[in-house]
Amino acid sequence: MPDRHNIPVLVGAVPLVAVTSFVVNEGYKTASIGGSSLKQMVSPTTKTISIEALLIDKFRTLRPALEVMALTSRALASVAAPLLKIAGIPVVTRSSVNLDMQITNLVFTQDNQMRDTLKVSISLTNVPRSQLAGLIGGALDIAAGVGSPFI
Amino acid sequence: MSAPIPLNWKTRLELSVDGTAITAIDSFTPTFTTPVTPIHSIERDNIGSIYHPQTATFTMTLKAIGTAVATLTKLALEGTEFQVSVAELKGTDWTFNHMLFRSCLITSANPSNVVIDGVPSATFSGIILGFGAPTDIG
Repeated sequence: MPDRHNIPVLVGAVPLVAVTSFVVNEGYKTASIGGSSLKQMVSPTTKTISIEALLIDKFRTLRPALEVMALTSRALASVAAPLLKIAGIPVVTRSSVNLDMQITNLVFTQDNQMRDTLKVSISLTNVPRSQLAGLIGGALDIAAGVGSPFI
Repeated sequence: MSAPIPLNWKTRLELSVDGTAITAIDSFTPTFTTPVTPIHSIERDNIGSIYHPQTATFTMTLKAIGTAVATLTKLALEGTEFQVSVAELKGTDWTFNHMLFRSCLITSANPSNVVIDGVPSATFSGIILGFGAPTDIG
């Protein structure tokens, strides 16, 4: 598909144009009841997302922007945390919308095999803020998921 | 009306190792490996490319007569770095005047084989650590 658009993955306001892997982990937690074949439906498991992306050449300047969102220092946390209190980081792809995410781990790799390129590995966890935001996020995600094959 | 200039090769090239001409050389083949791989995102193919480290190697074959083979074998056994220079000995048909390969190291030396006719040949292969600088090509 040569004329297909390269729609970036948005992590907050940061566009990642060279995402090589995008993994969503979600489900519903169950617990076995002792002495019975029945299972108790407990709660939804926390949604996590793992993103592998390349920051090539000038896109390496996005590293500080990702670090601000990941609150990698106390100074950054004092600036960004009040904003993140209201809403988490939205992660938007062509096929999914994930609101209220929080970066839990950020790994930047620079090695001798890839010139002028940073490999970034981002782990995000869903931290729900309000029920309304959760509902809106869920509705947007369904719309994107069902609609994306036709875009 | 003058006839078009025929594309004749009337030039002889000379190979020098650390400034000393290597005689009875059959061939010298430098190879530049310049790996580049395409990048594919989850949405599109071939959105860019990544450059990997570039390497250069060489292979030279010479007649196992004269002192050049012994010199090169000694350089190989001692692991000494040397310079290889290719230059025009006679004629001006070559595109370049000279080409320099710095910091060469021999990775494989085959000083001689046994043949029933002709001159035994020696083969040396190695890596080039210094190449591609503007001053290397003249």
